[in-house]
Amino acid sequence: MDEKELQFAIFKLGDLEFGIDIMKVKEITRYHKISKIPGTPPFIEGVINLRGVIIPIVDLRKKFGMEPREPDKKTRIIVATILKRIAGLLVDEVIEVLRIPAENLKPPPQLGESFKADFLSGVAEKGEEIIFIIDFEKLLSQKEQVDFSKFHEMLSDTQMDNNKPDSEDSKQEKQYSKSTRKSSRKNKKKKSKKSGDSNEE
Amino acid sequence: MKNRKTLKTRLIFFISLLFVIFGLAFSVYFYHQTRQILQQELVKRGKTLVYDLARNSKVGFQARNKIVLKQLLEGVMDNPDVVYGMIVTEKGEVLAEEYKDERYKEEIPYVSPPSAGVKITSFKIGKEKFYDFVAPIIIPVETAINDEFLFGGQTTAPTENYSVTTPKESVQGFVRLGMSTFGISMEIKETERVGLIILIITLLLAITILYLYIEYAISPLAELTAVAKRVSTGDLTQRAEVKREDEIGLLAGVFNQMLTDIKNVIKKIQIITKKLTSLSDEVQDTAEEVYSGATAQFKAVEETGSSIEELNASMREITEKIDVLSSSSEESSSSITELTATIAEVDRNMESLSSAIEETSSSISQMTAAIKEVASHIEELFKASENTAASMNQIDKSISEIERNTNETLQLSEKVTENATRGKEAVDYTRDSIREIKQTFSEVAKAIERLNAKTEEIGSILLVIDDIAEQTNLLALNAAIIAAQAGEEGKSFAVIADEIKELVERTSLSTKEVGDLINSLREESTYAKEALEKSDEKVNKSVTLSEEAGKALEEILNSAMLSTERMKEISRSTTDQANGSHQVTESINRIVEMARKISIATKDQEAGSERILHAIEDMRQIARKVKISTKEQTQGSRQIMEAVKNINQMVHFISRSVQEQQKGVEHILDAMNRIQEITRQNQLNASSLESVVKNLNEQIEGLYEIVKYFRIEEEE
Repeated sequence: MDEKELQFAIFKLGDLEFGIDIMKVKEITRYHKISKIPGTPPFIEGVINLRGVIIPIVDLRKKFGMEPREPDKKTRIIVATILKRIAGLLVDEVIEVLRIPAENLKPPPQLGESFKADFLSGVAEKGEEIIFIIDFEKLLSQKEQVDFSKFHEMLSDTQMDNNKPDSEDSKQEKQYSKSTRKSSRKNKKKKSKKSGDSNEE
Repeated sequence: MKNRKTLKTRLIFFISLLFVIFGLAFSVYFYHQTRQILQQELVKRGKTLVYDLARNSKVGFQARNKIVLKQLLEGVMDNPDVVYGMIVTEKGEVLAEEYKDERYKEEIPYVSPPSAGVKITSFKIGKEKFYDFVAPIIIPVETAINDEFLFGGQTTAPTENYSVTTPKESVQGFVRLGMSTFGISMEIKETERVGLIILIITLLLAITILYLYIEYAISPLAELTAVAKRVSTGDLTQRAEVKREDEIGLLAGVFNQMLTDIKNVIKKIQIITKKLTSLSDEVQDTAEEVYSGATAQFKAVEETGSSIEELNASMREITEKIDVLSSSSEESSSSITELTATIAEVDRNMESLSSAIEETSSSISQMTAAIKEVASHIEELFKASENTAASMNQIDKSISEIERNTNETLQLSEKVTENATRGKEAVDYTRDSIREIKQTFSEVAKAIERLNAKTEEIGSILLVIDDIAEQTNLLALNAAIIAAQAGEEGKSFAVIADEIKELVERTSLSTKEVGDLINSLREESTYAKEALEKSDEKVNKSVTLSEEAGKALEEILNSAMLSTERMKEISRSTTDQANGSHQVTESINRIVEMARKISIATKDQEAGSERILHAIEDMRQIARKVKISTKEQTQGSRQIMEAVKNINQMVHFISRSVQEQQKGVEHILDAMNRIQEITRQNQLNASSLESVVKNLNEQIEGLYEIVKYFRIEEEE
């Protein structure tokens, strides 16, 4: 059982519940004010400044074509790793971290050719409700992926002044880790945990 | 007829003169113009001729072939206007010449040759005018050489020319033509003759037409003249019969109108003259009458004068007689006056006696009347006092009733006062307690307000708790994520994170419950507050109501007290009134008694006075009889005296009037004399008037004769 147990961060968009692999999640944070940057690709809403790190934000409501909604106190940003880069996902609410046995995980339903459900990596059942497990990397189209990378490069170029060039791919990730380390130094509660996290990377 | 002829002939003469002048001017102009045109034509023709000749004679000239040239010249001379022609070399050698008349040969003047073009000059030989045309003969040099070579002529001169001047062409000779204007003159003369004939014919025609027209135009004038002549003899019935619409027709119309007007005027004059004649006859008649009347008047006036003088004399006699009568009547009058005086004295004495009796009688009857009046008055007084007594008794009764009622009312109003006082006390108490309630309400409201504030505080604390719980939840989530990422090592940490999460969930649950409680509490307090506000309003209203009630009660109390007082006063005065009325009743009863006694006494007195009255009446009648007889006597004497007086006066009057009459007669005499004079004057005036009327008559007759001269009516 232990080995075949997967963990997902469960979040809500309207009435629907979605899950995202917890290993991709860096952090869950409250809503920060999103700053618009000219020249961003259309699927990127803007950026937030999380403890000195600039993180591009994708509004999942927008991405799924749902009605936009004013942020409230339950609104969350899931900071996750996408294509080895950091991105924030704007969601209505994060409910919990759910452990799901691998057996309970089912392949996504075939919804027809017209509907592309590539981004669904599976469906899990939680009591009566159905949770859609999302692979965020597949949610972005080819072009969007390229745009996303370019945007990241642009961000890192502007931020590079303070940092030494490292391995090109994981530049931002490193930076984020660094920042969390800094912040963890300040937050004594999570100090040990965060350092462990960074060590792992 | 003479006039008419002159007018017509003059018109014709002037118009034909105009025609002639105009025709002459026109023909002169025409002649001149034609001449000029023909001359220009001639010049043009000559120019062409000489130019053609110069060109045509080039070959002959070069060859110096005189025969050819002569033939050419003769050909030109066929033209009737050309009178002479010659072809000359540059050096003046005549190659050919022709003349229509040999005399030209000597008389034509020398003309200097032109270098190029045609030269035109004009001159006169005798009366004839000539135009002279000279044209150069131009020969191209090369051809000239060729020609010379061909014809085998001299070669030296042209070669020299060639070598010296080297022109391409040169003037080697001239052609001269003369043209006479004689032919033109002839033609013009012909035209002139024809023109003259046309002019004369036109003139004749014009005169004829003019004559006819004037005849036509003037004939109505002749008619008019005839009519006018007839009218001048006095016949106004004549009318010009011209039926044309031109000026003459108009003139005839106006003339006829004028005749009609004159006729009307003369008619009127005739009528007036007739009237005048009859009037003047009448005037004459009246004048004659006036004259005869004046004469008669004169006679009558004279007669009147003499009779008035007679009257005057008889008047004087009458005056003297009347004077005698007057003196005798005055004497008789004085004796009668004396008699009258004595009778008047007797009368006066009788009068005074009668008046004394009369006075006594009247005073006694007055007294009797007064006594009667007193009796009737006393009777009335008696009745009135009885009535008064009765009504007084009634008043007495009603006053005692009022007294009783007043007392009852007084008691009632006192009771009202008492009740009002008690009511006021109760209302005051109510008001005070309501005020207390109000105060308590406001305290309660304050307490609720405080409670609300506290609740708000709890709410804010709860918000903080909620926020912390949220934060903790987030932390737990992140912790769970990190634990998961740590794998096996993080598992125990994950358990702790789960527990934290559960705690947080419980905390948020309980905070939510507390929040709900607080919300319900807030609602309740709001309700309470609203209810309080509503009851506060009601309390306020009841306070004002109770205050109003208090005021009303106070007013009632005041008025009740006032009415009680008034009642007391009324009661007091009513008692007094009752006492007074009792006394009045008593005294009235006494008056009634007395009045009865007086009434009886007065009746006795009345009977006595009646008897006295009878006696006096008898005495008065006797006195009246005596008085009447005396009065009659006095009147008789007075009448006699008055008669005598009248006679006297009448005599005076007659005397005066006779005197006045005499004066009047004298005045009349004077007037008569004046009348006589005036009448004489009248007579004279009448005779002069007669002569004037006669004169007037004669004038009118003359006028009538004149008017008669005009014949107005067709039949007359």
